[in-house]
Amino acid sequence: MLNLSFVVIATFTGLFTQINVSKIQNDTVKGRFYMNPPSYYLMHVNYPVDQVLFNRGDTTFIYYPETREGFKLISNYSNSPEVSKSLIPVFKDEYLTKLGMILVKSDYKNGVLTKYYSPTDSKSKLKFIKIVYKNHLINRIEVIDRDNNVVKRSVYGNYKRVNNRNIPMRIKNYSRINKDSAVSQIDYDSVIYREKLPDSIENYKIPPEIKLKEMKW
Amino acid sequence: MNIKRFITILLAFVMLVSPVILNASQDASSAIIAADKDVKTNTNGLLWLGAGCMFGLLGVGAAYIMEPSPKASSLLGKSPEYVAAYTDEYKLRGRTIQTRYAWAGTFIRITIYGVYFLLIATARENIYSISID
Repeated sequence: MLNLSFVVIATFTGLFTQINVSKIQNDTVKGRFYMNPPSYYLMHVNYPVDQVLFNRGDTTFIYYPETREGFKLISNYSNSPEVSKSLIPVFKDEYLTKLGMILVKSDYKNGVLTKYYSPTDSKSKLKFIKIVYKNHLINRIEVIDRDNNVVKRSVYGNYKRVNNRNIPMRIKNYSRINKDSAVSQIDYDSVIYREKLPDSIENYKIPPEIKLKEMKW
Repeated sequence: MNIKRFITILLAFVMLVSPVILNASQDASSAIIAADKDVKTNTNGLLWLGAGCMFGLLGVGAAYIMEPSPKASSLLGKSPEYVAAYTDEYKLRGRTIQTRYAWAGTFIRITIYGVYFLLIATARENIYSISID
């Protein structure tokens, strides 16, 4: 739908816990994330499996250090996980215009500012992106389709100051597509701003002797 | 005595290995269910219907060649067995959905062309019969 991955202008690392609840499965994933948008992310999952997931351009690599196996998924678009994607709009919502969205309406009531962005592409399934601010901080982002259904809602909370930026330490994502709903809650901890990612992370390499299962899309 | 020992070792081996096999197959089956659900949500049927309508067999060809890619978020924290099963199923199911829509689009295209040529043929016949009269 929207590719927000080129929006961020800072490099962050921290811990994350993601809880997914859907009809099919409930699971918890824990690990450390490294973000250097727009070009790079690396997630080192330590629960429930030891897994490293990172990208090089549009290619996603998944590596299991314990079992020494891995995957190389080549696609034709940037494909970052929710953990890194969810934080992105917090930094600068006006970058939405760069994504082909224009501000069409804004309301201010009782200290709550609501902005509505619409896609410039008239064929888009999307009607609005609604951003609600409380105390100048993003409280909620909703994706509304042409039938006025909220297909995705992200609720931002527990803001903390990190290097003069307000970063939400909890993001709850709700999605409802074709009557199926899914909820994910991401909690961030020990978030640190960095000028640059460590070289070992930015140039992370899977040992050359590991045979990767390659899939191309 | 030897047979007893063999059976004991065999039983111990089966008991040790079966949870691993069971876990792997559980992983694979839940991956297949999740991939089916995700690919249905993420595949734009209308787009492929349009491709079939506009480009006919070329649209169908594109639907066969262009395989949908799963989201990285769906693979975060999953076992290698899960990732392998999920990506395979996503690819297979996605291609099936795409081509089904592209074929439907192609049939719509053929029907429209058929009706169009039928109308032209009927109109020509009418013109001839009017001019003969």
